[in-house]
Amino acid sequence: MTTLAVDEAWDRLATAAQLLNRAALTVWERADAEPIDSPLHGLGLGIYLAGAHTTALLPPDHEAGALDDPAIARLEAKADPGTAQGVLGMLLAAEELTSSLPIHRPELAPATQTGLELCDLIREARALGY
Amino acid sequence: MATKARFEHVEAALFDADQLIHTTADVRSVGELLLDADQNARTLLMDVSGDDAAALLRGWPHLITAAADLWEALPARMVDGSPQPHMDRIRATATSIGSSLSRGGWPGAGHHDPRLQQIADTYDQAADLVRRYGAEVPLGRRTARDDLDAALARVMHGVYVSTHAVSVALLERGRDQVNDTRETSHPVPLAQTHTAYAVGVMAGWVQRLGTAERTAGDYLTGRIPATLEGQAPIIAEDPGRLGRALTAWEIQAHRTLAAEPTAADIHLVARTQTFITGATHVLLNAAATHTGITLPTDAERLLSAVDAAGATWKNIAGRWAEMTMPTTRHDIDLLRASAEARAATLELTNDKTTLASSAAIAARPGFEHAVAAVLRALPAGADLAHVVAEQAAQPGWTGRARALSIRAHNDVEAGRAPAHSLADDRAWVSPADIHAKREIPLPAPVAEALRGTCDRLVDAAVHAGRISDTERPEAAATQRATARTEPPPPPRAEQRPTVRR
Repeated sequence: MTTLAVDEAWDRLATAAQLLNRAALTVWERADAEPIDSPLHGLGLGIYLAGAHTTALLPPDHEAGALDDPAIARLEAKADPGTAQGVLGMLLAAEELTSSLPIHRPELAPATQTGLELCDLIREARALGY
Repeated sequence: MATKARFEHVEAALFDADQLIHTTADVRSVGELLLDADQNARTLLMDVSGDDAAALLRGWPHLITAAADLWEALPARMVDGSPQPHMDRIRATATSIGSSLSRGGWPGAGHHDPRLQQIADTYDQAADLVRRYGAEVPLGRRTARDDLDAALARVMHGVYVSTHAVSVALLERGRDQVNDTRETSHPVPLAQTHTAYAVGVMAGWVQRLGTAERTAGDYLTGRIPATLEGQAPIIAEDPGRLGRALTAWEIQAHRTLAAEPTAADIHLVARTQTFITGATHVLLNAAATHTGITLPTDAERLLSAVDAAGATWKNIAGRWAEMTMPTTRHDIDLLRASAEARAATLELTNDKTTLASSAAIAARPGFEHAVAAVLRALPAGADLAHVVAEQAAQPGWTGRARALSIRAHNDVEAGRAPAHSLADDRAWVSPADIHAKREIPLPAPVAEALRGTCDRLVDAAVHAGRISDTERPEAAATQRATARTEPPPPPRAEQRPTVRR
């Protein structure tokens, strides 16, 4: 069975959390230019909460790297994070990062709910034009 | 001849066609097959729609059979000397659903969804490999036992996600039916449960699949399944969900803000309040347009006040975002309260994944309770605005160098920091700090503009709270007068950290 070592799992979760944080801020940049009843406010909040929950899974002493690593650079080469494609790309990348975690480990079991939430958020983002 | 006779019995067994695994070009391991199945389940969940519901439901029992067969092929994971019962319970549900499907009624005969079929085929392939080579795995070793745990969890996760996808498809089909028949002479009525679109025959299927989904989720989180004794939980009427969620949010936000919040916590409070205020507009507009619900005042005046409060919450949220480092952790209770407030709200305001029409929203179960809840939340929002303003007045806040540099220049240029004119404009943040992406104290114009924005937030939130509470018009006026006469809190002695301890 191909599973990640736990340390690598934490790094992937940390990167996923930062991707989600950036995606949320990007959605809110657009939402802030729209009326307060725009559904983008709800989408941004959902993405932000998913990222924050992911961060909360990390060990207290986990040092999260800056969001400048090569994975992010590859993402940005595909689509400008400020565009619709960029937001969806960040969500899909975050979902992929959470897909091969060792979920049989008790400390990572809550990540299963995060994966489900991300799939729902991706559907929601697509419906809103991302 | 002697050689042939010596090995004949071995060759007969070796080339027995019934013993051979028919080789293909597929060289994936069990682990890779399980990951692929899991990925296919997640992709299904991302793409599912109401049109898929019939084929998915037909295919679900077959999927569970394949998953359960694979589960049985893997060595059992014992807890207190007994095998865990989760997959047996899910298989039992699948068997009963399969029997129900064969007795007629919706969805009737037809094809199975090819995506579920692919996942089932992948499980079958993995089961073949396990039965063929599983005996060679040294389960006495810790790494092998870890791999087994991982495999079992991955199978159960695939079942969990696939089952959830089928439920989502059924609910979306329900929504389609309600929407398609709304203007006809026989509209499909909404269900009187918090899952409003579990309509008609969909309700039973959703409930039965929900049992299986919860059992799978219980395995993954290590909980004892509630269905061990065959008692399925009942989805009860829950018209008060939004009210309870907003009350819990208000209480938790106050608790967090009173206990040395981080900038990230305050940012979350502001963003959640922006969202709640937006939802308030949607619900009140639906009430005013499509129902006979009496609002506290003229709808246009009320909506205008709500919009103004929401706009200032939005502005303050943007400022706190600049003061939040991406890796800062939040109060976990605040996260949960915000998530529940969002979920409870979307249940009422959304249609699938987008905003529903105001007519559809007004027709939903629990709508009157929801309107009362958001009206009660407006004065509560004013209280929160006061607390956020108090926090903003505290010295020692920091933020991201680049964002604060831009903000400082923009605030001076726009006149939002009256103590600093354009003539005084300069580089408020050092290029070295920007280049190093440091966390720095708020530049003076930013701190001044933050306080001014908070004052406007309080004014707008108090006004919205006042006109939503016509039974006590003097209450908000007293609140505002008190806020202006109370002495400011004493300054903090040290710089406030942005990482919550």
